Amino acid sequence: MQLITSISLNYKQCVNLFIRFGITSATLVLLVVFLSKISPIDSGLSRVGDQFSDISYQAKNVSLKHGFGFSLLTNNLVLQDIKLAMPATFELATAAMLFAILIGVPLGILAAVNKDKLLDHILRMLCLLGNSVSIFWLSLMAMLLFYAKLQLFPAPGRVDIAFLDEIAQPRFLLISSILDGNWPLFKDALAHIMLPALVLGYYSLANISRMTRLFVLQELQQEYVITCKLKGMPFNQILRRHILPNTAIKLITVILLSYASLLEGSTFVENIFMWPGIGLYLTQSIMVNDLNAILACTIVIALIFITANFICDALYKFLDPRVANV
Amino acid sequence: MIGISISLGAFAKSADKQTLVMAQQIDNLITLDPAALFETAAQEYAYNTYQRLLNPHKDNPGQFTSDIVRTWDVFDSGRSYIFRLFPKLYFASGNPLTAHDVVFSLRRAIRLNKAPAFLLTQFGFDSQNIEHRIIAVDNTTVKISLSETVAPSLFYSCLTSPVASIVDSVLLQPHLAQDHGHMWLSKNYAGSGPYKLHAWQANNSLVLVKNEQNIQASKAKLAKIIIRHIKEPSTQHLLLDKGDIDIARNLLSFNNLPADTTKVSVLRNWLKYLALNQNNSYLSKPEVILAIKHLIDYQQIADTILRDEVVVNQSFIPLKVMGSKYNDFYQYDLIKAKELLATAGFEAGFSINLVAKNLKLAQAIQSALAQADIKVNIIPGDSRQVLAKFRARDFDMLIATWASDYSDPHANTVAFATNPDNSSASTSKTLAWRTNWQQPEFNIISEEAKKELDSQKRANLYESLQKEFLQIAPIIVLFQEVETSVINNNVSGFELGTDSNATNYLHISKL
Amino acid sequence: MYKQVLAMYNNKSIVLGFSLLALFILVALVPTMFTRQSPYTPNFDNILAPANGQHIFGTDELGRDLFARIIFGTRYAFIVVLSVCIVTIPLGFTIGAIAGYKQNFIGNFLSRMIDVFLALPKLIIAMALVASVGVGIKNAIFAIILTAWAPYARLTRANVLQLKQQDFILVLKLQGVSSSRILFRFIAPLCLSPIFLQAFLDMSGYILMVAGLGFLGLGAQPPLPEWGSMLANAKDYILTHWWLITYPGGAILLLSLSFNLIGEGMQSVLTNKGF
Repeated sequence: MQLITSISLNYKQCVNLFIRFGITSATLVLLVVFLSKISPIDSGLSRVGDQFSDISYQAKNVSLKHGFGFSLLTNNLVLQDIKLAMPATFELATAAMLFAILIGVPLGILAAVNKDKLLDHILRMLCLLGNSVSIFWLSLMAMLLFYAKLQLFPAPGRVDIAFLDEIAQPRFLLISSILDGNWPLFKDALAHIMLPALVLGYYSLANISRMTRLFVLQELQQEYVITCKLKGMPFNQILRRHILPNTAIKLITVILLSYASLLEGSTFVENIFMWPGIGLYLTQSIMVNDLNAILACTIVIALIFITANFICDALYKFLDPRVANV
Repeated sequence: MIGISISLGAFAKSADKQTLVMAQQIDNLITLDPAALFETAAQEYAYNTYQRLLNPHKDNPGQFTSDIVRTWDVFDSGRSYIFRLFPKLYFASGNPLTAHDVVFSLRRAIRLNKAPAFLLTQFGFDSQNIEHRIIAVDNTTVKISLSETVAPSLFYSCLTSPVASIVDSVLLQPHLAQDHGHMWLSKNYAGSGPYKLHAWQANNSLVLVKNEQNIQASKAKLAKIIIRHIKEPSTQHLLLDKGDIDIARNLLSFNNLPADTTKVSVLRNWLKYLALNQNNSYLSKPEVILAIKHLIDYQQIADTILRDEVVVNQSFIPLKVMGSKYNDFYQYDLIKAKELLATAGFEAGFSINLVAKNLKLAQAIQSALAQADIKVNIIPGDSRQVLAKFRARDFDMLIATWASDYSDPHANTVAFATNPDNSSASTSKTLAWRTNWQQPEFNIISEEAKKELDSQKRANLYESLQKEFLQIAPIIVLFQEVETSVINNNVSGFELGTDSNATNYLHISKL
Repeated sequence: MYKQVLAMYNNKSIVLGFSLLALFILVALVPTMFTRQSPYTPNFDNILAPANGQHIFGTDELGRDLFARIIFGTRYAFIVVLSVCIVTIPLGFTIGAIAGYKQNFIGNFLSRMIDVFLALPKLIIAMALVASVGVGIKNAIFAIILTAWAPYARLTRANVLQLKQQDFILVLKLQGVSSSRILFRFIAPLCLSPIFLQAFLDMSGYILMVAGLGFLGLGAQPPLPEWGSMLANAKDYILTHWWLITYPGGAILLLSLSFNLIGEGMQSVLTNKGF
């Protein structure tokens, strides 16, 4: 068992990681501030509308007061809007991730075990397609097929109109509806989250299953597998007790990185499925050139991304000290 | 997975008969304060949830009706107005609606001085003189005195616009401290209209419910109206097809409408026009301007690429507004256009830029002018960029849309025909200013018509103005927009208004 | 090296990928061979027409032939990919090489920069950039370059760190050969294959990214027949005129797929693990 051989992360490496995290975040913020300064866009114009007199537009430039000021779209504080939108995106991303893991990992293992047979080829095709398809096209096609033609899923949106009041506050619908025992809401929220989660999860599915396959294949080549086989261990046991735990760490890092990159994909998926998350907020703000909101969303999403990367790096260092520090 | 979703069963389809679900682009709705809102969706909201002194007459432009005023009079040759309200009027909150609320609301709008306030301040009001110019003589009488004479219908038109909505002064009292209650009223409701605000989630949905305190509401059949913000026209189409919504307001293509639906169209007061910058050496020649007017096949464009979106109207006063005439002045005439260009010495054509947001129309103009060897180079932009270039006078040709602020011919006359000061320091940068074009007689006629008390004489003034404008102006009005909605056949009584402040929810019912 | 090239001929996915790519390249170079119609001329009497004899894929909302627009749009896809590659690969290589070779302040600083840019979400930063600075295909390309050079730098840095310990480099240093010459004449050729591999895998990403930006209205502006912006325009007609979405999306898919096929094939050949 090579699960946790030794946690030999020393103090210096720890500090090093934190410094890198800090520098990355700082660069991000600098980049964003730089963008706001050089942007020729006049955000205020759309607020006031067309007039014959010269009016001084109040919201002329990006204001970092109250943290990014007011949104042109909703007239709320940008940070407030983001706070409302984040749970929706997290719910969607988590659902997509669950789908990707529950289907992707078993598929990857199966493909590795049945290397070069039909199943393997099918999976590799699936992965190739997953990497080649544009996610907005896939969402459009999926909505067309499953909603319009087959009517398997409900209308785009997070909940049905009957439940509109429920999403006025930031909350995780699926969890809180179970906790409240509100079954109709739960069923509705579940039905609405399915199609976007499936589409969003497809890309991660391709990635995860491919990586699982790779890791399992790498493990299968190790000597201890042959040893175990010689000892007469049934393959299932080898799989369960040795191979999987060894791939677990690497897989967890892949999953974590995949989760972060889901945020990028969600910009398109949310746009098409009218899912009120941060991706939809970002694309709508782009449409109206609301620089405050665009840059605030960028920082939030990028910070999450950086944090995920940083956690992965830390995990690698913690759990596998053989990895060279490049 | 599929089994699960099917068993989740009836995703509640479009609701019961008392609830209407409408899909509309309401992303430009950023405030619910009637004294501050200016966007189309917002105006429609204010029209149905607040009341005003006067309403535009549905069929006769230039005439007015009212829900709350018993009688109104004008005297002192168009400078003083008296409005007598009905006695027992109430807000949705239960507070009585009196002349004091009317005066409070008008004064508040002027003091707040947001974008739409000019509709009132143009009559000479400011925060000092409203104390004695807009007063409540008693509980049911309002007296308004203007600083100079204007045609009464002009003043009445402005009173029908949402900025003159009557808000509940008692309800607003605790919030008046900083900004006359603007922050509070931006997210709340203090009105008396047939419907009242139930909930608003910005960029997501707007829910209205019937206001029992309102007298007209007793006729209303719908208890609840849900307006869902759906940006994509195709998504609206999809939802309408599945029955998840009853009305789709922003569809683009009207072929292959879903089964059991009907189109409802109305002419809006929005004009699409082509502006020719007079500081361009080619476009400043009158022959060129006239040639371009003859090169465009207006009817063909309206029948093909802009079908169901526009009708042909070449006058700067929209159809259905009082005084509109000569709407079909120019016809497509390639030979005449070429002759005109030849007289100006441009038979070989020339190159010119066109700034536009609507690329369908831009490309149509491009190919129209190409027939006379005029090479048009399209510079695309979104509405902000186009507006910025327009205001900066940084263009050769430009396509834009003008929405009248109110239904009186004066609104568009000022916009299109007047240009008091062509310098860059002008305080009135009208459309004519942006085109670098000044016609001093038009400024005079506009002022005259504004004050003319006799409606027939007034109409005549505008008629002759339109004719002259059509002959010499470098602003070519092309089309007037049509708003088309698609409604489910089980919905009846949906009336689209010419302006966004005339679409009425009162008579809608579902079978 | 020769063995590797031979192995490539035998690898199915490379062959498939290359044939597809060759087809696209041919289309981009001589579009007129494939269609007689113009992708720019509108025809207002024939808008939104479904597939028929004259228009294989139908027409778009201005009456332009969809097939012609897809054919001519191939150019833009290649322009984007080539522009991005021409800049990012040398840029990434240089930065990575310096970061790996020199241990002084500059080297460290560049190394940190590589880490930073690797950790940033590419698409989001690109969107923010284009939205701030202004739309258009040039800005989109610039934004992609800014976010895409980091993987090459990382690869190069790793390779350089490994190679500079080798004996022959020490010999060259002793001979007095300047660092830049060492880097570019000796080390560079050894780094080529992983960079190529990475490039092919990334190229499909560039196409998807520029299509995504175009979809949001941030990339190529109409009337350029770029596939992403074609999808953006077609979004409004999807229910009733599905071909406007399906064909451009399919083209993006096929081109991206061809790069991915080549990349995957190269991966199995070059890493020689047979995965």
